[in-house]
Formats: sequence, C-alpha cells, structure tokens
Amino acid sequence: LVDHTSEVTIRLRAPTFGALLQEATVAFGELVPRALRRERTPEWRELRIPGGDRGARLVGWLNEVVYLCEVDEWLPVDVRVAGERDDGLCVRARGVALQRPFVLVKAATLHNSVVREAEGALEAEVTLDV
Amino acid sequence: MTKMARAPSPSAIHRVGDTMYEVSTAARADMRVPARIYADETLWQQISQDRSLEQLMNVATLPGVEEAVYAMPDAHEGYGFPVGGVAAFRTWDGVISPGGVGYDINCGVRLLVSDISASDLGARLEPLVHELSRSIPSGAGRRGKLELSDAELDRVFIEGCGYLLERGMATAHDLAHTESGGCLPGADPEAVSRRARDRGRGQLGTMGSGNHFVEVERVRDIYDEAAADALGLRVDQVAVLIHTGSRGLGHQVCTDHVARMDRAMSEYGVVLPDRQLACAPFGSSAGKAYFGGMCAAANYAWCNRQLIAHHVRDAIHRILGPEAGLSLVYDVAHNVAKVEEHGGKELCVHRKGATRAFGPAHPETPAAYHGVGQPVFIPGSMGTGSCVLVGQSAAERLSFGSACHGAGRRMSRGEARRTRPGSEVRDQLTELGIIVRCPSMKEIAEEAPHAYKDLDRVVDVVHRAGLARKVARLATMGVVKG
Repeated sequence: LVDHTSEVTIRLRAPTFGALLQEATVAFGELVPRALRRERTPEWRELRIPGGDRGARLVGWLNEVVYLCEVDEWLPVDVRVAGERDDGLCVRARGVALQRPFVLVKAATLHNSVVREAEGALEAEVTLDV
Repeated sequence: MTKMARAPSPSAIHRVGDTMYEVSTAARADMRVPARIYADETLWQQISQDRSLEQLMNVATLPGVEEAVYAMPDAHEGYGFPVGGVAAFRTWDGVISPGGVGYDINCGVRLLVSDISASDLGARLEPLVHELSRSIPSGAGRRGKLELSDAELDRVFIEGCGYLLERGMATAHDLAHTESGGCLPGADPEAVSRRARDRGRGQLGTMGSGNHFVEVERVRDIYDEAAADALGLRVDQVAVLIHTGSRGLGHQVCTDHVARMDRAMSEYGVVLPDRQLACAPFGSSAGKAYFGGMCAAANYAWCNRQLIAHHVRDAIHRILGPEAGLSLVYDVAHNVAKVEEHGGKELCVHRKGATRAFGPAHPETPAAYHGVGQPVFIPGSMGTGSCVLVGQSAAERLSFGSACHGAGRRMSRGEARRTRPGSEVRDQLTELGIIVRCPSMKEIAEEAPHAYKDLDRVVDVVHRAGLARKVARLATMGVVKG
C-alpha cells in the first residue's frame, strides 16, 4: 500500500498475471478489518472480468472485489484464472463471509494504472478510491 | 491510447494578479487551452507539490475544451482530473468524461438553519449529537431506513427530490432551495446498471465514510449583513451542515461508464495522457449514456441529502421539541457535469470538487436569492467549521461560474495517521468543546485538521478573486462521521 494525497495506491509484483491478481486480492484484503471477517466459505465462485488488456482486467477484478464486499458481504481470498477471451477473463475465487458490508473502498480506478514487465516479472499499480 | 504526461516548465507559468497563476499552452504541445489556477503563493506551493498541475494540463488536451481549464485554491491530486478542477466542453464538438465528475457523483453540501441560538441549546448539544449519530446510518453498513424496489429507484432517478416531496419527506421550500430543484432532467434509468442499483437500493439516507459528515455548527461571524439576512443567518444561530453524495450507486455508475469509454477510446481517435480521463463525444451513444446515468445518480444524491435532512429534523424534534424548526438555506453539488450557457455557447461544464457559484442575476440562482447570489458552502476539515459565500456575476466569466468546495487535502491519509493518532485529535477537539461521534479512531486521524489546507486562506482567495463573496463563518459544535 502506497500513500496518495487522498486515496490509496497498491503496488504489486508477481511472476504471472494470475499471481498478480492474487497479490491484488491480498492487498485489498489488508484494507478489510480482521474483525469484519466471519467463516471461510469452501465453494469456488466463477466470475467474469471484463477488459481487453491486463491493466483493464486488473482494475476490473478489483472493482469486482469492491462489489462483492459491499453487496454480497464476501471477500475473495484465493483467485485463479480459469479462462481468457478477447474481452475479458473467467476467474474462480473463494473467500470469507463478512459480518456486514465493507464499504471503505468504493472503486478501483484506471488512474495511472499500469501493468508492466520488469526483470522477468509483472509489476503493477492501481489507485483505489476510498 | 495513452502517453506519459509531464509537469510544466517554469517558463510556461505566469502569475496573473495576486490570486491566479496561469500555465500557458506553451507548456505542452498537446494543450489546447491554458490552465488557470486560483491560488495565493502559499496555496500555489501546496498545489505544486502533488500532480494537480499535471492533471489539469492533461484535461486541457481533451477535444472541445473551451477557453481554459481551472483549478480552485483547494485543488489537489485526484484520478484523471484534479479535485478542485473545472473544465467546460462544447456540446457540439467536445467530450464528456466521467473522470471530470468523479466517482461520488453529486457529492455536495446542504446547510440548514434552526430557529434557536447556540446559547439556548446549551447542555442539549451532546444529546443532540448523540441522537444524530443514532439516527443517520453512516459508513459501517450499507443499509438505510428505506429499501427501494426497482420501480421506486426509477422514480428517484427521474423525479429526484420531487419523489420525496410526494412521500412527505421533503417540502416545497426544500426543493426551491436545492440546486436545480433537486432534479436534473436528463436522467436515464436504463443507463444505471444492475450492479449500481444493487449498491444503491438500500443506501438512500445514509452518510457514508471518508470525509462525509453531519455537523452541528453555530454562526460565528457575519461578514455581509444584507446577504446573511437574505440567507436567514444570524450570529450564534445553530445550523446543520450535511456533506455526502450518491454512495455506492454513483461510484458504480462512474466505474461502468469509465470502463465502457475506455474500451471505445480507439474509436474516437482521442489520445489520452491518463486513462482515467476516458471520455466520449457528448453526442455519441457512450456520451449520452453516461450523461443519462450521471443525471440519475445526481438525482439519487439529492434525495440522499434530503432524506438525511428529514432524519435530522426528526432527531431535532426528539431532543428540542416538536416546535423546533430547521429550514434549508441551500443544497449545492460539487461533483457534477451540467449543460449550461456561457458566452452564448452551450457547454457541458464539469465541476469535480468545485461548487457552482452563479451571481445575483443569473436565471438559475434561486428566486429567493436574486439580487444576492447563489449560496456557496465551503466546509473545512473536521472541527474547523465552514464558510458561507454567495456567487458573484464575475465568476461566470472567470471560472464558468464556479468556486471551491472545501479546504482540500494536503496530506495523504497515511501521513495524517502517522503525524497524530486519532485519540489525540479527538482529545484536542474535545478540549475545544467539540463533540465528536465517529466509530473509528483511524478515520478521525485521517480527517484531522492538520491533514487539510487552511480553510480561511482558501476562502480568502475565492473572495479576492471575485468568484464568490464571503457572507458568514460557522464554527463547529458537534461532528458525526461515518
């Protein structure tokens, strides 16, 4: 997590794009208070993430997490890429139920969002609206 | 398509008078118009420390941008557009950009005044603040006291505050004292996604977290007796200020339409310095869809502040008795794009963290304030009170009729937390006699006064620049935060 004048920026590094999504999920989870978490749900959910490039897909995934935390009261913890199409990704995720909606993070933005290759890995930054 | 942007070279920056700096189009080849920043030297230094200027220059590259882009003295880095930014685009060859409105569509401020004085309120202040914190759902959960069906949501989108008038939760006086009567006419419920509806269905009448609040204030100083009288303000009067917006619904509308425009950017042939500036021609299907969704979310936000005001009135009746009155002075948006006429041209004016500030003779200034100016409310940081101003006619040529919206952050949330813990901030406010109700010490730390610019300095620049005239200064008595 990186300081930003008014928001929160997350900076990520992982060997593959799938691992980058996992790192983004972990970073988001650090913003969710431990006390809000209930039991882990065992089932995997299948989700579709729109976006034609890696930057849009990463932001799209984080916006999916925002929605799931607020409306379904459910925080993804593990995420796997299950399929890829021109217009987006299919992912499978499992996670933990929340005691109430988590509404601190309202959106993931495209502002300065970047996914780049660096020294055999992928690096990314995404700014969250809080 | 995106490309890297850069900060202006010093030779392209000119000081224009004592309240404005201008970055000329010589700063960057892709700038279509200059960038003008309302600031004194101190605020200029603060604004220059983050990426606000670069972001403002990026906005100046967008197609159809008219005359100049502006930053208000409270400007700070946002995403895409800077917060505190104003830009107008021609409706016939210009764009509309969700980033120019922000995620919290029609975030805004509503000021109500009571008929009792602070000295009469006395020891009932603490029970009142406590009752307000109990009555207004805040940020911890998403659900308010209303759970709306799709049909009811559609009525909120289309009718705005008129829907709450019909349900007995608003008065005709409330609507007459709300910007645009609490209803933008261009709303398109079809442009509000299922996800946005899911997020907004139970949030009407809720405050949200972050910098949103309900404050009990007292009128501390009057600077302009005639204008204060027209607005119904008198020294020592108790007032309530409500600051919130369109909650998750507005954020989802922005998210959905940014994503749609981002996918379509190559069709429009627009080169963006920042992807969050995703935009579409105003008259395109994507542009019309965003405008329709944004108007729907704006109407939802006005209903949100109206419903909170309804809850506040109930709380005041419970604590102060059924005769206690609370009259709406005005409700003004500070995150919205509106079609307005300026200089004989039809423009889509984007105000992101900027308040409309029409002068005394403007036809959209409410009838009650003709000859005075449209009220402008500038809240400070938690506990520092707020300022009441009225728009000046000159603002219509100086800033497309706009003024600032707050003190503006100068520290990141993390830096604010590290500088002073929440408990210390709360104790400091308590020593000043300010009652704070906030479920999170972390949030108190993040919203502490030292994390923001100096409110009086910001307002002074707006006043001296001729954008809006100072009418009154309010002091905080109690704060309820999400």
